Amino acid sequence: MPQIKKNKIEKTYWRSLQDKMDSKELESFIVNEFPKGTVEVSETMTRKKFLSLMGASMAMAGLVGCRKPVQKILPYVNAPEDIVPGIPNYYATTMSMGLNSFGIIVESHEGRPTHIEGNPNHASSKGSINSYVQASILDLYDPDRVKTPMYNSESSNLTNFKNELSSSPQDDTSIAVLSGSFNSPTTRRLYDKFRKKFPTSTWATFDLKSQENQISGLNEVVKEDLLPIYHFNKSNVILSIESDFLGNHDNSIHNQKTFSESRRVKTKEDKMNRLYCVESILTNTGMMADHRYKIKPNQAYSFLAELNNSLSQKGLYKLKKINIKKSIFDKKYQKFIKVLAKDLIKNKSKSIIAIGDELPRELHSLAFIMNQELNNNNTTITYHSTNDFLKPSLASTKELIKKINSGNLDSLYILDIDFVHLFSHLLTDKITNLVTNIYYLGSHRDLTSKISRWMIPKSHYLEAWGDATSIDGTMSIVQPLISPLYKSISTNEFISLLLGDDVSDYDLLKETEIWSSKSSSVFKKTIHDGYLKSKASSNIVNIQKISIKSQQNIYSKIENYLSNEKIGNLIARFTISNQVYDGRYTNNYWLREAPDSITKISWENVALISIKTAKDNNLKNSNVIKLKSKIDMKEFEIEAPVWILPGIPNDTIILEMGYGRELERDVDRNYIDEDVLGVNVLPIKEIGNYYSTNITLSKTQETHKIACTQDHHGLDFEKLAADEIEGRLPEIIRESNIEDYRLNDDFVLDYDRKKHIPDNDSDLPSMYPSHDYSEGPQWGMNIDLNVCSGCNACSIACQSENNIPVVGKQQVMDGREMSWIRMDRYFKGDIENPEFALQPVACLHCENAPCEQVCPVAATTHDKEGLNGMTYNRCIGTRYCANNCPYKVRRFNFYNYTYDTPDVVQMANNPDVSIRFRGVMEKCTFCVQRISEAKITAKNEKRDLIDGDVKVACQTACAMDAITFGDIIDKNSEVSQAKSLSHDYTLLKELNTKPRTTYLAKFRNPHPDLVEDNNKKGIIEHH
Amino acid sequence: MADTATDKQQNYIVEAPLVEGNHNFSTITEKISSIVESKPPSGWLIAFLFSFSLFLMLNGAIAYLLWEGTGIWGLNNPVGWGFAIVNFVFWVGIGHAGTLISAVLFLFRQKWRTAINRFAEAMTIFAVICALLFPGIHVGRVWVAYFMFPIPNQMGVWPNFRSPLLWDIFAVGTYFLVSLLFWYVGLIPDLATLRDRTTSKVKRFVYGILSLGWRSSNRHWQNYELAYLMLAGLSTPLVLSVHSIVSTDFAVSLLPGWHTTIFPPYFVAGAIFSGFAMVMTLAIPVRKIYGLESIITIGHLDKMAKIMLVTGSMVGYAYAMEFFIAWYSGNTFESFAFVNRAVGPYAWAYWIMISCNVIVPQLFWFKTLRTSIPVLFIASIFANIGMWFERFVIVISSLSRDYLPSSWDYYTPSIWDILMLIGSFGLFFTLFLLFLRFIPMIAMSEVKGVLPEADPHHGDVH
Repeated sequence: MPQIKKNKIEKTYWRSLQDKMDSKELESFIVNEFPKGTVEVSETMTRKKFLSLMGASMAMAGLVGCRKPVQKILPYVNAPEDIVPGIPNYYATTMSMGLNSFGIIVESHEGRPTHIEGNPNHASSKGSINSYVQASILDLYDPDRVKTPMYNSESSNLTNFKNELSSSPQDDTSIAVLSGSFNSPTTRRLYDKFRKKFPTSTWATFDLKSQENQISGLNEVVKEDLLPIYHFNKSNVILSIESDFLGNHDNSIHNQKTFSESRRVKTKEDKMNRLYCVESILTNTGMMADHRYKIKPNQAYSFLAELNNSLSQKGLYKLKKINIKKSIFDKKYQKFIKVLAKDLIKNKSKSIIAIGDELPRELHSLAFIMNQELNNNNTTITYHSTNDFLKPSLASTKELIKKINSGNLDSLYILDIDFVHLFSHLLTDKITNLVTNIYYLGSHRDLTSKISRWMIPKSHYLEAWGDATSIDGTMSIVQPLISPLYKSISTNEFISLLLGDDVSDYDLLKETEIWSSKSSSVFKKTIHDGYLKSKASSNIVNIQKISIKSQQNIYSKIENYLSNEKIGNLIARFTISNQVYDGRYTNNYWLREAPDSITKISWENVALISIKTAKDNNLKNSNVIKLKSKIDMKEFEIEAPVWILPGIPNDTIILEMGYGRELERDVDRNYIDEDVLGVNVLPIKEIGNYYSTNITLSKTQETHKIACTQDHHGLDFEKLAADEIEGRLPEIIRESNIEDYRLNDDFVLDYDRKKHIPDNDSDLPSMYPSHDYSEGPQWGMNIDLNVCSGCNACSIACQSENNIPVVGKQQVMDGREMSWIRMDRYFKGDIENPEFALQPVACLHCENAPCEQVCPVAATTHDKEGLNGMTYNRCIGTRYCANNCPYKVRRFNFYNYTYDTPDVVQMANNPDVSIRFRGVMEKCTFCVQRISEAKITAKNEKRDLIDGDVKVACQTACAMDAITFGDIIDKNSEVSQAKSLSHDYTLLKELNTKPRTTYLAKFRNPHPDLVEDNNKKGIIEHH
Repeated sequence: MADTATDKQQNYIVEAPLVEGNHNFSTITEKISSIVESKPPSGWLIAFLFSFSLFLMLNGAIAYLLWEGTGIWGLNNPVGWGFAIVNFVFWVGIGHAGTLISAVLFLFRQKWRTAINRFAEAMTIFAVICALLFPGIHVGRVWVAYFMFPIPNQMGVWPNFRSPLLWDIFAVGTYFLVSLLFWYVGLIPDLATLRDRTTSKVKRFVYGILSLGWRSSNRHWQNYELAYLMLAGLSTPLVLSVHSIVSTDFAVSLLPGWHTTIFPPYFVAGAIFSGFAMVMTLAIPVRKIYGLESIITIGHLDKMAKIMLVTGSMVGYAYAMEFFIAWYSGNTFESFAFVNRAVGPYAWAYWIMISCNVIVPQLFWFKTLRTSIPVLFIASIFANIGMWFERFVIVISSLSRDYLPSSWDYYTPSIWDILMLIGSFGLFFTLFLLFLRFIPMIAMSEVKGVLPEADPHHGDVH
């Protein structure tokens, strides 16, 4: 495996791979991983040793409790190639998600992948990641993964499975396969082979978060299967209709990168894009918007229709007018639509209309037509062929369900989809009565595994060879970082078994035309780089004129819909979760515990409702409601706790999908195994619809406790607190309209001047002489609030880099979450239509650190490079430092959170960062391990540190490039540049803590004609 | 002659006698020694068993704490200090009255102190023991708590002398040692009395060791009096310093609601208030049960009530001043912290505090109430409750809502917090009951010193 040369030498320190050699899997893993490598000391017990141990343990009974047993580490006898103990290797590989795939660089310590960063040269990741990619490394070490093939829920082996496959007669029509969509050329090749071999079999592709409407909507106009890629960097005006392109989007990293490019403001001359957002849920994109208008889920039709008419009226004469009987929107919205149309036309060929994946296909077609008339297609939006992908198909899924219900199916092969979770409510009988044999390739013992004849463990993508395509056409290699930890096989191997072949995933990859045609040196380079260079962007489809006929067809469909629309009182809107995605991350505790950036709820899903809906139905946070729905004459109901969220439409209940997947766990973890299942909301959702209108709501007497990290016990509905927060927000979050900033570029000082706080930190008086910070490097950070979308990628990256423990729902409810980065979210303005502000706060590394002064044992001290250090060994846990921290960024280990971390999960730990014991305070260290590494490298190379040598984990993760870090003495460094901007400000400056992390103020770019709507003052609330 | 004496006396303000009834030297000795020498009343045993079981419960709770970690308490992210620190400050406050009574009142020649100083001092020592327990167990890693002491070590690290927690160790430690020494020195003549009276060999041996060969010689008395005076002089500044230093735990920080310069005097006043309340709470049942009404007279209680009135009003003034300064400073964080105390989520605690500490002592303006035993007893208990809540309000309400609203949270004590609070009373009463049983609870030699017979001019008429 050619590795990425990072050209770095780290400290020669390493830790044994295992703490205890008592688990079989681990032993086999080690043997597999280092065939000629380490030899572990075998612990044999002799009588003499036993007696001496007993004697010693009795003598030191009181002492041994405090220390971990000594581990013996022996050096390699024959060192594996490329592995230097203590120095990580970096390999490029690819992670697929939905129809896209992200190029990543994986850090590997002694053969053990520990951390993921984006591949800077890969088009779809551009060096950054999102929280799913970052957290996927934990899935590799998930202790609850299926470890051996299971035959009728009994452990078995692969040979038996192969034998059964080869012996069972295969009748084409009674075979069905259910898979998700995929973009891998090799899988596609195997799929084609399968279809050729079993021509009458069924192959259904189902994605819960599906791009099908997008693809088919475009197909209706262009007659080709396409997906759009938005180039926000080329656009001035962006309209999102239910599209969370900055958050839960297949191409989110590209979107964030390009969006931040046209959003970032450094000087008065800089342009800033304007984001309009129209949505029925509240998304990260919505929180970023300059104008956010909430609509009910069904109103997207009307909105787009009226926008269409307005555009047509304002100059896009080619757009046909849609007949609308009576507008459902009030004056404010009417005005908004007019202004929006004007703004879009003004920025012709420099705007984007992005619409949500789940919206009906006609709307995708309509949006495409509008983009076409706005000259956005081919300029700010490029369209990419998806011919090589296996696309999601709802029709095929419905057909499969029908076939199952008819009882005509012998064998159902399920490729990594929790069938029971998704579809059991659609079946007429128990699935075991309907289908004879179910073969399931999956990773967890979920409900589907229980009904399967065979359950085959699926390899994690870091364990298998494969390939992938990104939406932009980049061909990438999926390279394993580690041999499979368990007896698992990859999807490709599984399909090859179904075909009667038994070929390894590497050979399967090599047989695929695109790779077999390459010379070995090109192939090797592709593996090294992670992707194939020549093939990039070759799948762009140039958009020509649209045929009038298809256009009319679409308009009539929309008119048809609008005239027939019938809507009940209450609408349930379904959406993808920020934590479990479509359910696949159910057992990923990093993602589960990271509080949702909007609701601040961790671990579970809730039914989100607006304040008015809550009042109408007499509901309070945590009340459990019952939702009933009639689908195809059948009644379904679910129960879910409610949570009130400002900014969502009235009479709408937002339900996150993907929760409620019951898994059988192998390992119980004390602090984690609480009641965290969440609610499966799918039974009341009509398959293929993203909202349902025939919903009835009833309140139950029950309540369900919710772990929310920011509005504990509903504190903020209290007037006293709400008023105070209103008063404090202008100090905490400094913001300005971009136009005002151009007139007054030191607006961040307005607040300070009003409060008689000196402009410069150095003018604040102090009792203590200041430290000498004159010599570099002096580390500092800057966070640009203007481009932070609160996506949590930094927080998960930090968790992975710094071995931050997961504490469980109960501990989160008790206010003891450990995440070093706290994503603060504030609501501002009208409670019905609030504005939002996000602020990531980690340790700010104050120069006058209040924590240091009060620690009685000097466990937290300053170093000469301006780092506020924590000496864990010295800390006795008085918690005084945390009390005295005005930013409350210190995290205390109230319990020994790591004591029951399963062995295999410990392998995900970064060996460069120590594990903190109970009773110790911890906090952001500015990734001091990375600083040390960079300094040692520079020293070995006999050079000075240069800007960019040290990149902290949150900084590399951030796709918006909101975080800069470096030496603040070096005036040319990126961070100094950021800090020198006029809108750089210090959080709680008057306390004279002189933090090293400063913030760049937030800008809003409202349309001048809509300003007074935005400035309507209401109660300022924070939740 | 008799008439002349009566006439003359009428020209002076007649102070009530410090010891009532027909006591003379021997009855005093008899009365007080017999408590130690005879079998205790049955109530003692019941009370002792009850307190001792609470004490055992405290031990169990501490064992569980050490096993599991500080997570068993209700602490969370903004609220890093909870009941443990509240209890610590509360007990240190209780520990104030003893030294004040014995040292400060001694220096001011307040002779009435003799009846109550012994057990006030005992109370001080036991309260400080309870107080010292909490900082010890509240740290996350108890087994390295010794890092706080300036012990020469190979780690090459000293404690951080800028931290008020370190000052606490010195202040409370010194206070404890000096109080213990003061108490013990005062005990020596009485221990010798017990040694001389006892018939049991064991007791004679133990009391003999403890009384350090006291023979009541003139020379002994001279040295004793001088030592006592010097210790009183030493203790006096400590009375002021210890709670001032404890208050810097809060005052030195930058938390709104903690960061105020008024804390040292205000804490001292509060401590004296709570200390006297506790003496009263203890003295009222003790004098009744052991029949000591003639020695601990209603006059003593009256004087203590006056001190409570003064200090309670000082505390009330401080509460008002805090609000004034918070408003006057123009610091919005500061003013919010105080408004939040009064009307925020912890308003219930705040108003308990105000009622108990400010309103209840106002009863003591009236002599009838000052001399009513039930009123005194109930008011003193209220004062104790109020002072505990004062610390609760200061510690918790300030922490729960500080600068950045995103980190605000509400603290709810866990069952272990409550058990440890109750358990600390178990420890206190266990020690106190043992004291009543084995050590003369009233300083016999000193009470004799205030009898009319002790006056060299006794019987003279001039």
